[in-house]
Amino acid sequence: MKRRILVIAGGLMVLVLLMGVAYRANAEGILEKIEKTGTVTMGLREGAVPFGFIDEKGQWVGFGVDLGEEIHKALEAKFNKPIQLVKKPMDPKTRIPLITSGAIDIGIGSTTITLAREDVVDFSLPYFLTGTRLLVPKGSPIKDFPDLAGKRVGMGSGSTANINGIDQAMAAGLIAPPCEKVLFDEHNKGFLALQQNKIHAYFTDASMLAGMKAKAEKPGDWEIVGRYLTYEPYGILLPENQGEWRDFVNAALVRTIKSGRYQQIYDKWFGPKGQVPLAMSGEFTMLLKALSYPE
Amino acid sequence: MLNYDFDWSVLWRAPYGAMFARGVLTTVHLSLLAWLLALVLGACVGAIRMQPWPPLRRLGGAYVSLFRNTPFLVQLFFWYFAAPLLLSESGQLWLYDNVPDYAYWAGVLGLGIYTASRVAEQFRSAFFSIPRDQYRAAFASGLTSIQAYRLVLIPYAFRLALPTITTEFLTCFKNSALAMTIGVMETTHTASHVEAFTSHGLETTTAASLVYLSLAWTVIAAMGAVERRLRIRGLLARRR
Repeated sequence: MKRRILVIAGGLMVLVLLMGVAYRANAEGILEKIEKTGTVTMGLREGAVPFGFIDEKGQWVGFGVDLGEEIHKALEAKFNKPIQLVKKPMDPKTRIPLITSGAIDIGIGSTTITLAREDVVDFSLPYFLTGTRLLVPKGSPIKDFPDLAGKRVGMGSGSTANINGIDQAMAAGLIAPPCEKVLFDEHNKGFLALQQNKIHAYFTDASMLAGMKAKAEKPGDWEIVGRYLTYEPYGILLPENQGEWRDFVNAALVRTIKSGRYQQIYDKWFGPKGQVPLAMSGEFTMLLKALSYPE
Repeated sequence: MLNYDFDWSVLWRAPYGAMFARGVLTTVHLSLLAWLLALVLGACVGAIRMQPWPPLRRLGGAYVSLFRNTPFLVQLFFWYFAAPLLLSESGQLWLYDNVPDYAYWAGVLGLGIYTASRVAEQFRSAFFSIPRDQYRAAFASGLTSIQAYRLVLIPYAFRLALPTITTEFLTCFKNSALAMTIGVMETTHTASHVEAFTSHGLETTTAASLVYLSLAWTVIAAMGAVERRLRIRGLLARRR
């Protein structure tokens, strides 16, 4: 018995140590590391239309990919030499561990800036603004959040900002009796469940819903309904305590916005002819104006 | 240099403590239900495979090769996403509206049916490893076929199969973690869910591992007791 306990204790220690290695922090500045190694490792979404996804030709494209390319160009301009861009897939489950472990230097997906996340990672300036709404089949009796009373509502299990939002709405009595939360580890599984009537509505960021709708076999069969339940400002994921790197990313972001390049990229993906037509809200436009810092 | 502040309180402080309790409970009853199904179904399929009539044997063989040779994950997706499509549209609506938590039952069904294919093989191999002498002796003592099976061969085979069946029982608990992929909030899913909220994955993952470890010990202890109780002196007396 005693030996058994020793073996187990030893095993657990090895486990913790291994995980500790995975969580090793980057001691050196990331900018110096990029200059020294000539590579930058970027986390991007693989299945989130249009933020980052694999297109019909098998290319890894999207709004976040284009934005990342701008930052990559700014890096090459700064160091005056070619920098290799290494792309790594990330999803709502893996994005925070990937940053904290140092596996990626920067993560551009569709990550809402939250105070809880600020405890473990850093964010760039908010570069995208959306809000949470509902995706329902066309003609559904669900028109807004109060109609969710007693219904089954799908959402992403890694989307903590969304879950907190709907929990608060239920606590405040906006949805009474409360709806049943059905959690999916990927949005596309949730959409499949919605198509199969397993859930009555899918709840997440409007930008994401627009992507799901655009990717559907018949986009006309679906509608996005409801008020903005919460505002979701997106930020670029960065490691903690990397001030210089964060300043650099922010400056690149501000210059991309000021030069009009940001608008071009937005229109490419969200414009009327884009993959996911989504008109920029007034608040969003205002956010971009506020971000146009002088040189 | 470890840049990680441990905060074990995420395991018990509200609301996460209650989430974990519910998750562990779900793991336990989901696995037990699936195991019950696997034992009954596995014994039936194992018995079918021993029958002298070839079509019946082939049916059992087809079951085993279908469910043992495809990934369990794919089977789960099948039971959750594809199987209901075999019903009519109104049948599907009825299913989702009247079966609370369909994902849970898809998990029980999937895990039970998958594990049954493995249990069936354990029973069958136990029957095959009974020495021929036992069959001959049973029949020579004038027992009928049914009596020979009921009084000699089945009790023998059951005892032979017990150790491997214990392993299947443990695997059943651990495989239940895959039910998270269809949205069942069991231990592993709860651990990653709490991690998403707190960014304390080390603590939640460690806790989940410990849960499986203690479940495994409980099963080993319980099955050990069963084995000792059923032991026949001189038959399988190879214990230390």
